[in-house]
Amino acid sequence: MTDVFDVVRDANPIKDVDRYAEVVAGLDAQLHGISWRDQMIDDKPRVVSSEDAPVEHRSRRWWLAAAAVVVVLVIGGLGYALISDETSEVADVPAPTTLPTQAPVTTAAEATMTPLETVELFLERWVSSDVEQADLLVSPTATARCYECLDVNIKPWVEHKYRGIDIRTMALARASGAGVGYACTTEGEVVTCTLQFDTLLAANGEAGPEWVSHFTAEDGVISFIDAGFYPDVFNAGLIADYADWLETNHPEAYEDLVYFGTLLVNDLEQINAHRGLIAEWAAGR
Amino acid sequence: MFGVTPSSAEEHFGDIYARNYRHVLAYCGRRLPSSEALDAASDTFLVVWRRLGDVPDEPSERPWLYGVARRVVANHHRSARRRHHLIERIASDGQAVIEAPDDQVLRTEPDRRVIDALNLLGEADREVVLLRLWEELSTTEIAECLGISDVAVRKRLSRARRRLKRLLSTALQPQGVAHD
Repeated sequence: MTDVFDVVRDANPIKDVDRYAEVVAGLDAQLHGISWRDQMIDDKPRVVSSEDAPVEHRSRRWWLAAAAVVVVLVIGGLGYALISDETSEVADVPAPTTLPTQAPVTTAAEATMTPLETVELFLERWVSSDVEQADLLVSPTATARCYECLDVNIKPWVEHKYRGIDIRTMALARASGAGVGYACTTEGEVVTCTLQFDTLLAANGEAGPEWVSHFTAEDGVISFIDAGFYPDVFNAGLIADYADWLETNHPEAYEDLVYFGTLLVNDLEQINAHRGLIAEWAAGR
Repeated sequence: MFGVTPSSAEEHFGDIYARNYRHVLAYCGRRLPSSEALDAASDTFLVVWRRLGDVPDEPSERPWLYGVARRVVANHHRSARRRHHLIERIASDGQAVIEAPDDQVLRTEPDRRVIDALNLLGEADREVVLLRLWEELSTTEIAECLGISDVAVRKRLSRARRRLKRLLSTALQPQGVAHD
């Protein structure tokens, strides 16, 4: 009689992992209709040093968190799409030459905005969770620097799984009550902004460390984003503390809101759940 | 943030990725539709990126990655549950279940009876069986992956074997002589 484990072994749907990866990566490229390598425009940093740049305008806006604080641990970060050899081996996948997506819808007033005004409006929408409106200020052919890509790190903005600058995280931070501060300088079309989370979940309850992002904008539309290799602003110890508290006091919620030490913030339901629970946790500390 | 410079972190991450990506993708592909498997594999390596300092050296590296992928896959199942409310194929106790492959081009169609039998095992036993027979891990590696003892792994395998044997008794019968 056949051994039952042999039967199960034979039922393995993927016996050739190399072939599977090759084919899946190829289908994924076809599905998205984009070969990001072909869409690569250049790899030259279009940035200016914030020290060298003349300050045209400086604004600082803070949304101070209310009583409780927040966190958003990022699953996202800078988008991590498929990379490296799997992609390069898909030579027979047709690569359309056009990028999809709609053209940005800008008002006449927006079209005449300076690069600084464009970026500041983008950030204003971004930190207020108005992701869709923020996206309208980004060209459909915009590129962005991907810090987690292994080889070529300039990619079409539309391919960034989490939208590169991590709009999603920022939206969640805002939704949870976290503050985001930013200050921008500009030189020509290049706008350099220093950003900072304001959250008690940063070290010692102080505002988190700053990071610098660069944007290129023209005619009211952003064409390039370098979000910067931003630091881990949240205090891992406090997050672990919250997660432990959650597991002890709300085990049923813990299952859906935490995995592997990471707070799950995949949808509004999870965000709202975290908001209430973090407030409760903070109040009890 | 990572305890290493971005460039060395990228290099370290790149090595881990190159060694394991295809295996992690296959792990996810055996448990999710291929379209979701790609996302799950990417999510797994996002966790790796964020926890770069925690990744153990070989030979524990891949079992550790499967441990991360397991949670990512479970999260995909939970997300699917939220999206579609109660999908009948998901067990009422909320356990993740194996789905039959939907992209036959990419994967061989497994025996439905085997998949059904696997889904009748408890999640803990099923995962041990799959890690042993599909991911081809040793019992020691499975123990590392799941954070349990070798003895517990062997017990689960033994229990699962007995149960599967019962569930698949007809499938195990020798091929009969063709009747006219």
